[in-house]
Amino acid sequence: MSLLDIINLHAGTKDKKILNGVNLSIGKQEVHIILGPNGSGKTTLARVIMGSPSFIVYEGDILFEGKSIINLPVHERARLGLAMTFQNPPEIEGVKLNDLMCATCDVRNHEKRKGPFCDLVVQDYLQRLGIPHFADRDVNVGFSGGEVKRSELAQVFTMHPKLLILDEPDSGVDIDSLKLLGKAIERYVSLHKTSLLIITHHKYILEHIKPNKIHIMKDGRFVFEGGPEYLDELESVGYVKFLESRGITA
Amino acid sequence: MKKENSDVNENPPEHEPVESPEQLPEVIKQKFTELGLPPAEKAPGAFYQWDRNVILENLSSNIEGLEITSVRKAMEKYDWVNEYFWGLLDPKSDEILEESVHKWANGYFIRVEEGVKIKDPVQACLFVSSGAKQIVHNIIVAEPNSELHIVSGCSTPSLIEHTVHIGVSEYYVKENAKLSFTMIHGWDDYTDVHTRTAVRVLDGGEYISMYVDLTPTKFLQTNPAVYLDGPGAKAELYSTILAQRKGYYDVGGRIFMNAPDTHGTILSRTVAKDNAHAIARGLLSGNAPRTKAHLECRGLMLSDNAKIVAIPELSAANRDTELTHEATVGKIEEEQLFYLETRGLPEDEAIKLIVRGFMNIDVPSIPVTVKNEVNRLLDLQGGL
Repeated sequence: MSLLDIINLHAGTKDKKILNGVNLSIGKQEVHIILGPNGSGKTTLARVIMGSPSFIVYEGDILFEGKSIINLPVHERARLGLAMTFQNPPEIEGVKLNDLMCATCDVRNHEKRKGPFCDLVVQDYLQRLGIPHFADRDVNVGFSGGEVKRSELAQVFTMHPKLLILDEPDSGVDIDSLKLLGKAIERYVSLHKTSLLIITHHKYILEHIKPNKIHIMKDGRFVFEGGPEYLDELESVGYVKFLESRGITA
Repeated sequence: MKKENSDVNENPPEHEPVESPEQLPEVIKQKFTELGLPPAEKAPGAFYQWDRNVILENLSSNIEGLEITSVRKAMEKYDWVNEYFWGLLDPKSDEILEESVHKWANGYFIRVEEGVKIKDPVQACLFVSSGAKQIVHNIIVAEPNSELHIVSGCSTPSLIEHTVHIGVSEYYVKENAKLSFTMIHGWDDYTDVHTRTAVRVLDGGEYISMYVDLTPTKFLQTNPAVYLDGPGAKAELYSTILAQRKGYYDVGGRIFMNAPDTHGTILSRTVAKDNAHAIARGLLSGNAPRTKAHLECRGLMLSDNAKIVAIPELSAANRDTELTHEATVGKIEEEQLFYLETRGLPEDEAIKLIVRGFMNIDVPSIPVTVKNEVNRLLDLQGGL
């Protein structure tokens, strides 16, 4: 049985349809990459999977471990084992990163695990991501681009999700940070057998994480799917030519 | 159950003083514990007044140079106290003050002598019986080069009777002295509270005030005035209010920079829910060269039936003064909620966390123990 199944998903805002029939199936321990031009609907897909109230599902279904989740509130999806990092997470003033992470640590078994266990886990992940001194910082307040990415990863790691959606974990990050982030993801995934859905524009992050499949999104649906062997060509010629040479225009 | 002012008992029964903090009545101990105050015996000194009667005072506290007594006793002991009494406030300036001239019962007198620095917070607590009216007049004197931290609790048992507390306070911070005053209020839906506070700070002196009210309150009015009358004097006024139910909360602060090189900060956080009506005031007045002050009022709306009015005022009477303000009122952002919910927090817990965070004010200059008390209170009662 696959972990996540998206079936003919049509979704958007009240006024505008953004996703036009997305199909996607992610199995256990699989890594999927979503690529595609800006505005093609990648982030919308991630947010719709998590249950963002800003979007409406017009048609189709999302199954997690075989059960439909489209009517579940956001936090219940998280508690089933879904997590997502944000590209530009909001600042939450007065809330310490440590306190938030402890409140959401090992979210599937939270009642059993909270307390000193979580403090250790939180400190461990902050350490691994090179921001041990961020425990006392207000969530996202005054974080640099790279710090945001590190803190986002540390936060979702402590949740121990089954499927982790990374929305541009590599945007606005310098090469050194990129290496650290890539390695941290690789280590985490190999240890916890987490499935990944990564939205990205670059292949750098994939030097450490070997994808099973890539999906190119355009105008709210996948127009090309294949193995990781296409990444080099895609990187050198760009989306337009890559798709044109395969007779895909819209 | 709303009653008219005339229904309050201006002559409530008398209460006997106690010998030691341990003997304080349970009802009082419990109420102040709820407000996060540590037991009185742990403080270097304490003053407790119940209605009209002082029930606990450390006349000669264990610490040399610290005096805690009632204003009436201090007046008998020292002639000069008369000059401090109504030294900063004008009894003719409003009805509340005028009433207090005739009807004040007593109040605390706390004085720290020159050069004496007391790092642990002293307690000053005022307790009003349900249905009673309490009028106090307080005086604090921080002599030159002294340091004093006070935690003040004011409360009443929550019974459904109209209750009134009027607190008139005059504080004197002399040359290079530092006074911090943390006031924690715990009221109910039937209590009217009027405070009238004025503070004079002399050369190089520092006054820090932190005001917290997270309880339902029928009517609250507090707008302390701080006069920075000596060069280099400083004032910081902080407040955190959880306005709720049908309460009316009029909370502000005023800083008058009357001497050169004086500085001021006013920072307030107001959360309004239910049908509450909150006014967040702030006045910065720059009247001397090289003066600088900043005012920040922030409001968070949790209900469509509540109201927040932010009234920042800047008044400059000198060319070389720099006054700034920032006022915002808004709701919890949808993106913040979604973010926390994706981390597994249900909506109500996410709201609690955001509100608790919003009310968090970091006051660098108060003792850690006081900070912890305020934080504990916010954890208990700030979580809605």
